[in-house]
Amino acid sequence: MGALGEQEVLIRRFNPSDESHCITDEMNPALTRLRSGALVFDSDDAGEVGCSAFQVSRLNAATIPCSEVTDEIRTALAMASAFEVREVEHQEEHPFEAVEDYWPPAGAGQGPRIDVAHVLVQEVISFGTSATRKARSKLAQKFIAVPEDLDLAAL
Amino acid sequence: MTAITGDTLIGRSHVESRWDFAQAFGNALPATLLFTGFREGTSNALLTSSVRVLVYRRGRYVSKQEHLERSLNRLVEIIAASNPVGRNVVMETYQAVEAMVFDNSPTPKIAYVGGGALEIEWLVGGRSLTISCSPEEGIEAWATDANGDLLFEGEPLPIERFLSSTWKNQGLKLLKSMSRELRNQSFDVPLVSILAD
Repeated sequence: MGALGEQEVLIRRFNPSDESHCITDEMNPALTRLRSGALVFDSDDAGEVGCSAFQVSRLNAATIPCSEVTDEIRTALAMASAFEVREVEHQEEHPFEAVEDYWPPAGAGQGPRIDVAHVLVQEVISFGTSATRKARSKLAQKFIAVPEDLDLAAL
Repeated sequence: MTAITGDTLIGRSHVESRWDFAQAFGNALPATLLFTGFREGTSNALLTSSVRVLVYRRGRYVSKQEHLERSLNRLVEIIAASNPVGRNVVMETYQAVEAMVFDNSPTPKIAYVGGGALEIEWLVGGRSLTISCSPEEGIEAWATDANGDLLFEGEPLPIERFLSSTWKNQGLKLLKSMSRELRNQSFDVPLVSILAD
């Protein structure tokens, strides 16, 4: 799984009415960003811990609308660059990496077509439970809700 | 509209008049308004003129008591949603809110963040203050500026020590600064358009 280029934009779906998923700036209602409840980290078979996201440039290249990433509950999208993911700092470490996880790798197989742009935000450094939670909160803060007037297809 | 006592309102110092105005509308305005530029006038002039309006605070005035009631309701919601939060974490979160909010302070947003932990967060003008309440490590506060850079980061403390800590004081100082920022937004708009919102 290769690392994403720093300028690659990642999107993550979230539920805009769930207070554990997002918070809106009290002075600037146009600014909403994620909270850690919107990020779900799972372990894969190899024991790697990661959170799913989608790479905008890959979706655009496949002419898949970014809106296809949303589902019935998580109806909104938030975005961060691979650089912003990597620059999260916790206990003087950079615990997150954004890597390719495109599926299917050879164009065959089944699954949602958005998986051709699937990427993982991996946790590359392990902390204790509480410190991990805090690191994920810091990561969530990097994901800003996509403004209504931003055309992701033009990125 | 008849509730406006404009003659009285604009004849007084704006600092005193802001609450009168909000109360005249039963706190139903989209913002609590602060007027400048009028020393004399009538309620009619107030309604039809383009006046300088300082938005004291978006949303209506919220007292400390109301912040506490809302936070309590939010905690009840979180528990009712079957999140596995222990009694101690809930109590400590409430104590932390109680220590941080004040009349018309920014609004605390409480969320369950997994592992039996709760987080209180304030976000104003891009700056944020987060207080984490976890079953393992107690209370921890950190803050970031509008660029996402850390302003401060405290170590985890038991609630009793947090309440007298420098981190609590730094958090409170930041909230007061956020509150001032909310108050100091200003722009010129026709009053009638605000009332029509």
